[in-house]
Amino acid sequence: MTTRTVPTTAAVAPGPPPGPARVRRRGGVGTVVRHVLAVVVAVAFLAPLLWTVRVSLSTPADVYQFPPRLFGDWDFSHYPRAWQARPWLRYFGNTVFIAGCVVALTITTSLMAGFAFALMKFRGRGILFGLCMAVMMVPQTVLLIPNFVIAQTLNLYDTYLIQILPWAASVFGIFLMRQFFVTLPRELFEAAELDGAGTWRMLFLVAAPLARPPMVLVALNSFMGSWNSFVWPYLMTRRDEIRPIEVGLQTFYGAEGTDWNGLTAAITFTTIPVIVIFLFLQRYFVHGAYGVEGGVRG
Amino acid sequence: MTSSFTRRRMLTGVGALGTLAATGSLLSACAGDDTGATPPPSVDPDTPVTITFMHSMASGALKPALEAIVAAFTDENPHIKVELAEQPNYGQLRAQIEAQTAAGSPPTIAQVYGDWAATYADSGVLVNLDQYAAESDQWDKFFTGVQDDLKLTDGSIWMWPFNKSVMVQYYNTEMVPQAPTSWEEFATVAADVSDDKVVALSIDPGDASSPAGGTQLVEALAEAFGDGVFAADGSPTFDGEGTTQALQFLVDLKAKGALALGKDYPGQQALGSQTGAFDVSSVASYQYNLEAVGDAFEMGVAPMPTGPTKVGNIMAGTNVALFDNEDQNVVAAGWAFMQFLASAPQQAAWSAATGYLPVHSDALNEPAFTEYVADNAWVTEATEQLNESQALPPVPWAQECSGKLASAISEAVNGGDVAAALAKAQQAAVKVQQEHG
Amino acid sequence: MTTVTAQGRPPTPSPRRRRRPLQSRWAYLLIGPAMVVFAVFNIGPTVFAFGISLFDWNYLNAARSKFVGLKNYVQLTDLERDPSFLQTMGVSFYFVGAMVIGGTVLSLALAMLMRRATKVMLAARASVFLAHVTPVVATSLVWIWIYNPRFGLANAVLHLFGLESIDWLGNRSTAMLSVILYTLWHEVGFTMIVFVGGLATISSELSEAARVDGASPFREFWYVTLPQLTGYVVFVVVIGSIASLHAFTQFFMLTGGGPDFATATLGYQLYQQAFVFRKTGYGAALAVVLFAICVVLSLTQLRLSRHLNRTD
Repeated sequence: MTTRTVPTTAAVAPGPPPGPARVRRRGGVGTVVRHVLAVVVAVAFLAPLLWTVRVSLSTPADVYQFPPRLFGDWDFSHYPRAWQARPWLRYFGNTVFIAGCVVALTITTSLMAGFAFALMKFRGRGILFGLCMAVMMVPQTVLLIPNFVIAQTLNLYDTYLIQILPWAASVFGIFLMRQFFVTLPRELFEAAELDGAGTWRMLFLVAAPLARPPMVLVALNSFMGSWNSFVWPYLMTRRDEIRPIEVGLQTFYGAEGTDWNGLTAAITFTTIPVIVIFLFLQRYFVHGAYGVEGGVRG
Repeated sequence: MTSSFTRRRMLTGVGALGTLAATGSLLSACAGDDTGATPPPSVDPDTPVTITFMHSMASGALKPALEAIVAAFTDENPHIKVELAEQPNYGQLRAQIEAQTAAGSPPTIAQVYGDWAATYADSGVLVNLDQYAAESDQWDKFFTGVQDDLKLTDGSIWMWPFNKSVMVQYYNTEMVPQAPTSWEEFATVAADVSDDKVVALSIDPGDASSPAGGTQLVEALAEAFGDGVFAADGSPTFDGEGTTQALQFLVDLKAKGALALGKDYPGQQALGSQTGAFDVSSVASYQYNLEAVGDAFEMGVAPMPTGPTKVGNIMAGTNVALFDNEDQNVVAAGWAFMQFLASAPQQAAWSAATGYLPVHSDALNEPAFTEYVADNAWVTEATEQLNESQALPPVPWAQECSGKLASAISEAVNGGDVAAALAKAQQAAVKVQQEHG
Repeated sequence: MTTVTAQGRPPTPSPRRRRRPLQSRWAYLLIGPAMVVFAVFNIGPTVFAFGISLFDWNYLNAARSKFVGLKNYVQLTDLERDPSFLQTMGVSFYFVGAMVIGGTVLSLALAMLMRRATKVMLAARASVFLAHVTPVVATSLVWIWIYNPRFGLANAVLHLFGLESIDWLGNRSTAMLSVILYTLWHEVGFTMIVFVGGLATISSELSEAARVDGASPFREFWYVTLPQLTGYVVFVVVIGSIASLHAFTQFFMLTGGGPDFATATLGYQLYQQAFVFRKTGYGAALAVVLFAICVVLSLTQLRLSRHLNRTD
């Protein structure tokens, strides 16, 4: 237990950045205008979401009014109706399960590979890292046909596994982790080495605890990616019982494309969980986490 | 059964790996010629079988009606389990059928359009039904229009009928007391009923990749005004007199404020919300439109208006195709279910529940159907039109060519020149046909 | 495993040294899982796709495919095709250009606006970023309704300004604009946050000095702030162009590439050719082209950022 005394690095803890903000002295009119403008922008960006909720609570007749009615009657019947139309709870469960597995695997693989690429010396490192980066260039759509054959070959068609395994490693995650480890001072690891730490101890006891901030980003990124994924699970699955939420939503639209009350209700209750999660974690983002850690400076 | 299944899986796997390894080299076309007709295998009633029916009866009244048919079939054939693989719309149905076929595990049977079946038959993944039909007592009972629709251009039978439809006009009886009987009258009535709240007719023109109800309307209008959009051999004739007049008709409607374009069944949306007077669409929309209208007003249904010389109508809806399978029990069970779907009692109940037209002539005498007709007189005339209406030619390029027509519709209705739009569509469509060569 | 020599010099490679944890073969095990995933689900299929592009591929029955050499690539030069490759490239550049220029300018402007970390500004940042976390399928659906030609919110806004209704997604001339508006709404939050992070790292002294010298806010931004953000701008431009080249779901939901291929970008067109029109070989050729464009783009970025680092 040698490594606990390692000094923390300055790099990347989220939190209010020591920005130039405080130094400004001009206040007054300029500041008020900026704030008003910011509020206007915020409302404009929120408007489509608020509008969704409004439509989901309108009467069917009001939906087909022009100009749209903001203050029409309220109708709460669409939520139970839309909820009963599809096995949403099952879709939610599937999405959470798939996203959970993807996040756990991605963090592990990114941590390990990022650590190796950043700190370890081995033959072929440059080529392999280049290969990883090239993977990012491959458009997902082009892989659908060959991957379909591969999924079938591996007996994975229409399973949870086929929705998890292809996303078990992430170029973004590896890149982020590598950038993070590169910025850490080498002395840290030399000290651990002196204490006799092996590769694995160094990885899990020195590197991993320090890498919390990039891990959170990797986790969120792959969680959002997982929640968002659509074409892949749509083509790779057949049974409703194992399909994720966005596929469920799309098929609901495909079948009930004219029922905008029901659709907006479904959009609302399928999107709220993402929004809630985001609100809990938004402090990681709003201070510019991606910018600071996104490896831009590398 | 299990052993052959595993072997098939293994072969697929080996095949895929081989393909991976040998992408640069020639693949030997050794799949054999599958067009040869075979007699139907017989079902072994002791072996439990599971079949998959991939379909798109995903919503409204269609879903429970299909589930009822499956329940009835399972009662009669307890050893056959029918798995319904539901797809939300036909585009996705096609994508899913083909993705699974490509991967070596096609559904047992699936709803298909003629042009899809043409492609599948060309690729050797379908069972030829010539001898099946010869041994079936159903064939002679199908309406002749339906019979023709089951064959591909090679004259062979590749499909069995399921859900057939023609187009009709739905209208708001408070805005339009009496349905117009000719397209000329339709134009006048539509212009009169339109104001700043109401646009008489809304259609979805469709798009290059997915023709829709509006494309079908132009195809029907082209029949009414002249010579249709395809020649008998499946060559596009978009620059012909019929199509030109059909499109001009829509452009004129638009100019009078009587036509709007939209997506996702805009005719139904507008009719239901009383912002439209008509919905010209398939009989299969009947239950959906009834529900959209609710108690707001009384919805009228009438046959299509006539053109200068004749009624033009389009036969739509799909047939069912049987996919090749190593397990003859599965093939036999699939065939048994296909015949059950097309049988008179099931067709009568299906028709009454969904609005689709029966394909089996005996269905007209079934009580379920006679009761339905008693309340809906228009159904009789619509059923008669099954024999006269044109289906899209069952050639592999039909849908892609219709897509070109769809593009021309939105271009012309949005202010483009009719002749120029159609000339461009024709040129593109001919090119598509040549590519399929 | 405690035998480690203790010399205080930096770990330069020295092959004779006995076990050093950072030179261990464990490295292969560490990168192994990720590499296997990439090999099976990305690299292998890419090679496979390249192979397909040399065939007249029968997607339903691979055994019936015919080797055609470069025929699919020759077809790229066929201007009679609908849509032609040239048209597809034009549409792609429209989308990518608008996303990269519009997205970068807009997100930089928003970042400058919301630069200070007051409560209101943090809430505003969260609101803008919130759009980015919403699923594309769900919010595309919302925008389909917003763009509805008869009852949509977008036309209501036009009416407020006394303008006529537009068939946003149905008209050739506005369809791409509509997709761009949606995509900007969805993506700008992310790039804005990147710039907010960038702004937090730059020196405030230079800005102070510029202000003392009486520079206008715009000159201060242009000559002092922006140069310090160059690395971030390059990052946003590259990420933005690759993401736009790959963009798929919003096209699938909003327009399906239409009307008349007005929104069929390269990334969408290869799906359409392969899965809608069943021209798998041609679709694979498009994919190879897209792949090549992405590689060239990233190499350029690598060069560019090295160059910029050197001049710094």
